[in-house]
Amino acid sequence: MQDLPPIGGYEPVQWKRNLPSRGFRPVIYFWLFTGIMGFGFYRYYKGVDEQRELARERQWARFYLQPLLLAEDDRNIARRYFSELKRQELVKETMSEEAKAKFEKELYNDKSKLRFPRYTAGANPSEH
Amino acid sequence: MLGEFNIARHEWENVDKNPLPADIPEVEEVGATSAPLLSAAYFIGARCKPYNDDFLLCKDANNGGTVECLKEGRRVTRCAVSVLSDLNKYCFDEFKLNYECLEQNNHNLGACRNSEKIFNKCVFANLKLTKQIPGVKEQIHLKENPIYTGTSNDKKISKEFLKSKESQN
Repeated sequence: MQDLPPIGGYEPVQWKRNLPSRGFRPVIYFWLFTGIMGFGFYRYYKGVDEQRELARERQWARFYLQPLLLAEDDRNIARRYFSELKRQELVKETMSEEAKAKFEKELYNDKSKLRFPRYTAGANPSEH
Repeated sequence: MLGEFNIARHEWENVDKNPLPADIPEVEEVGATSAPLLSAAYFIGARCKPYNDDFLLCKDANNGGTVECLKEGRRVTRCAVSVLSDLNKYCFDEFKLNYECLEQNNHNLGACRNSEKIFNKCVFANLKLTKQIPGVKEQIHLKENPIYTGTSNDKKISKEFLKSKESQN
């Protein structure tokens, strides 16, 4: 005796798994992400160029201002220099001859440039 | 009352007790703050280039030349003052619009392009001075769609400025 199929036949057999869709073909992803990266790099290096030009603009603005700032500062330094010379004359008036000789002695041997009197050689204030 | 004990509260008089010697002529100082100077820098450079170069060459030739180059320095200052007074005379509002933007945006020139455009146009119309960055063909301040524009509200303010200017005329 043999089993027979049920009436109406067997149900269809599921031979394929229910896997979710894997998306596009791999080559499409490759070019998509290459494109995105490429655009990013392009934009980045454009930005680098622009930053450099902005820095150049700032630098040239400073170069154009520098002479006038220097001129202003030079006038102030010259003012202090001349007033220091005047002060030294006043100090010398009250000095004894020996102290004055000491005071007038040159501090530097190198005469190739103007030296601003930052440190004044002179007698001890108690000797004045 | 506490002032006499607090040195920091001392009100200093702005008097120069040691002025320059009388044989050195007086010159009007520039007296502008950083933002207006930055805004006007390229126009100062455009008009005063010969004086600036002369001054710097003199300094170079005289080993610093602080005392020797006072005359050239006065010329530089006088020229810069002439530019600034011309800007104030012909383009006061535009100048103010631009330097106030710079003041508010960390002196970032890229953040103030809209007001700068208005300002440059006015300066060219009245003083015939142009902003020209040396050494490059593509001028960054003329770039159409820059990437770095900052976060300023310069565009809005410039638009309002133009509108109010139109309604005045």
